[in-house]
Amino acid sequence: METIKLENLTFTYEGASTPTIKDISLSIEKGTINLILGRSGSGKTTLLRQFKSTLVPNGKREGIVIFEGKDSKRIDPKEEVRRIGYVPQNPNTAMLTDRVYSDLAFVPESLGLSNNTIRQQVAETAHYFELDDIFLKKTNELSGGEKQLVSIASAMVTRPSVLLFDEPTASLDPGMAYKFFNLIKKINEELGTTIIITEQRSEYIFEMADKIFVMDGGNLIISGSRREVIKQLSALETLDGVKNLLPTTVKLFSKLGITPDKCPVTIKDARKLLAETYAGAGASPMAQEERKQREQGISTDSLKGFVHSESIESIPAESSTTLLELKSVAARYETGPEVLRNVDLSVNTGEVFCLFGGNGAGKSTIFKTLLGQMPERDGVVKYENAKVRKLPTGAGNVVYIPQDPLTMFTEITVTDEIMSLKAYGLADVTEEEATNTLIKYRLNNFRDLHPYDLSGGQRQLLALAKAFCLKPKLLLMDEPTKGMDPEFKEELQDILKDYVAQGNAALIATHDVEFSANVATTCALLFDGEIATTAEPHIFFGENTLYKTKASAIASELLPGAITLDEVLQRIGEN
Amino acid sequence: MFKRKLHPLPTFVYFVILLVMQMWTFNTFIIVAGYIASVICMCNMRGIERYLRKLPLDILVVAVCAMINLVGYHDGEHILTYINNNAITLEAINFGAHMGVYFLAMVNECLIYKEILTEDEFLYLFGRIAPSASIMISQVFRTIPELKNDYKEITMAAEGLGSFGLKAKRRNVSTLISKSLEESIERGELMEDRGYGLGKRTSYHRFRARKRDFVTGTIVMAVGISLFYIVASGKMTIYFYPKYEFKASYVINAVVSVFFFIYALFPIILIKGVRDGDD
Repeated sequence: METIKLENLTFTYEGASTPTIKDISLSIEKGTINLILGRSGSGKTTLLRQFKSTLVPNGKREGIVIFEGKDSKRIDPKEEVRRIGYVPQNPNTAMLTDRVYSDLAFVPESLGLSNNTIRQQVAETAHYFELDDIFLKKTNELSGGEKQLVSIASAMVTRPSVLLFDEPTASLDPGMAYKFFNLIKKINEELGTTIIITEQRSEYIFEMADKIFVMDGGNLIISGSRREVIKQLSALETLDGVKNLLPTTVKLFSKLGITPDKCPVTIKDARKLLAETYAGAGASPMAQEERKQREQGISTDSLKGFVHSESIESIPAESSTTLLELKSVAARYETGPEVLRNVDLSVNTGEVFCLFGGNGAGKSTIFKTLLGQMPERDGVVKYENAKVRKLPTGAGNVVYIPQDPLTMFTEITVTDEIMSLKAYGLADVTEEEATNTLIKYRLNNFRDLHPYDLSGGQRQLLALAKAFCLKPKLLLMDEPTKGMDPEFKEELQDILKDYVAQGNAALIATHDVEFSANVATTCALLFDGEIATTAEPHIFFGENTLYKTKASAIASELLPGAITLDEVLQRIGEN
Repeated sequence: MFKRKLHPLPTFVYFVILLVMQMWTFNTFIIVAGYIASVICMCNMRGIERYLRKLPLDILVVAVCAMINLVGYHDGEHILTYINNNAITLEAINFGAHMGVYFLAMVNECLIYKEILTEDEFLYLFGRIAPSASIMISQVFRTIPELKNDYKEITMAAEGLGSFGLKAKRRNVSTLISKSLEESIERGELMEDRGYGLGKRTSYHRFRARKRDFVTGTIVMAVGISLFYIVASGKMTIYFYPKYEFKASYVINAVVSVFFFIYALFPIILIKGVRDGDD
């Protein structure tokens, strides 16, 4: 039975000349998981917002939306609030009140329910989502994952039959995203709630989805089951960017020439298929030799001969100098224990240093310490072999890009954002250079937009553009790939590789395993206030069983040491 | 025995009566009784050492209040001396000292109130009167620490680009405003989505009145009303100028004050409830 049906829906934003989504007809079956896939700016959020009338933005809407057999215009608004839940993208703005329990009570309060009814609903919901420990907590003391959990719970309090998600994992790390999708699955299976979700990264969710809708340029280009979508997408001649949205497993096997109807979706199936198809590859002398060496614990250098990756062929050791050095650095806030206890690390020129660590491990605290923002600190920080209390920031020195690019924007247009560097005396940027930069970062078409109107990935690119205009020697980045679609991510990888090749360096705090495998020269794990492991990425992702890339999860048995998709393909080709 | 915490409503009424009584009578006995009781409660809450450390400050406050009043008021029968043709009277010093003790008692009582009543209990009291106002206050409680935190992040982002100084600070404030406005829009949309403004709101709270709350509430009200009656009948009236004197006999004043003193010790029972709960 269908829950929601859209018929010939076209939507044009107020003041826009062309519609954002065009002539879309689709139906959502009751109790299914539906995934709307699309690149940034493909209109997927606009489409999602059509499902609930309170979410429809200002603009002109043609066509009809039918909810459970009724035209949505004729549904009682209170009924709609009760029956359709919505979880927004940004977990920070999803917290409406100061306490977790009052946030849970928001919808039933709005519906004017009695205190006893609300108590019952809130209690059941909190129990179901295991919020017992944080029930009385203040909302701004929660972590990102907890906030996201509370915001789902708040949407589920009145037991809606449909739940809408707008890129719910954009600000979560991969581990949390995985947990989050499992929760969605649980809700769907146990409560029979219909799920509609928009995403840019299809890992995890793709294998759960019953039906997938692919949006591009405001059109619904493909819809159907997983298999049908894989088939139709692979058959497309153009639109590589859209194909990029498919999960790694599918991308890998379609590149290996497996026909779409045999392409595995889950890692488990992929591992099996790879083993069956390329059993011979694992038995090749090269792979055997490598496995033997790994068992004996051979250093990185000997691995280099086998691993053919650009990332490892960085600048030769002689020409590289130490740019940043931390010795036994400790830091803490006025009250509370030490966040950093004993951090030793060094970043050389030509190096992309990726720092891993769980939420609250102190990755951001390292940046705060380096920029002199921690109230209490100890230890030695050396920049260009000179002891410093805090790093010299600004043009030609160190530049920091925060997690939330919005904190960097001071102007009202994208162009002004770049030109402001000159106006404020931070860097000498000419109009021409600004335009070139905008072209390089694919922002030229949006140059007159307000930075806040850019998509998440574009905001991140603008932040990067601003930072690179200062020609920094050392770049500090906090979670640069948050909210980026795969296409932007590849672009960022290229930009970074190009940048460090000129004798610069980058220190990146990240959760993004795939990104680091492609770009890092060194990876480190921050744990318990110390650097627990430092290693070259092939070692880091190989030995470390928790931090595994998709590619190494699929192929580590057969092709040890291959951690990116390209490496797997290359190695299979060689064998 | 495990004593449970009292419902916020009788607690609130209790404190209103306590504060109003002292304000209204401004009677030596009542004020001193209130001060001593508040000190006992504070010692019970935070330990006696903290009070002893604070004691010199308390004495200083009383002395300063007496001094200030002495400079401004020159009425009174007992003239000690003249400074610049202005009389320095014992009555003015006396009144100032009263002010000091009264002020200290009030401060202590407010601290005790703050300790007993948590933020959400306060919101509950508000929610009873105006549900939408309570949602607004709840949002203010959330926004203030959030703005502080955002400002820190924005400052760090600006400094990370090499932007320092006074002008940079001004730009940071402007960024803070844009960012928080943007987020308010998102929040406003979400509120609408969650049914805000669709009709009369209710205000959810976690407090259920028990028999004990009604009993305590009744006692609080009974004591309050009888105290009010006594005060309204003028028995506690006191004159400072021109001569310091009580309208009724000392005995009556003392008896009423003992009554009030016991009333003012109530928080020990209320606070005990919280403490035992923590153990």
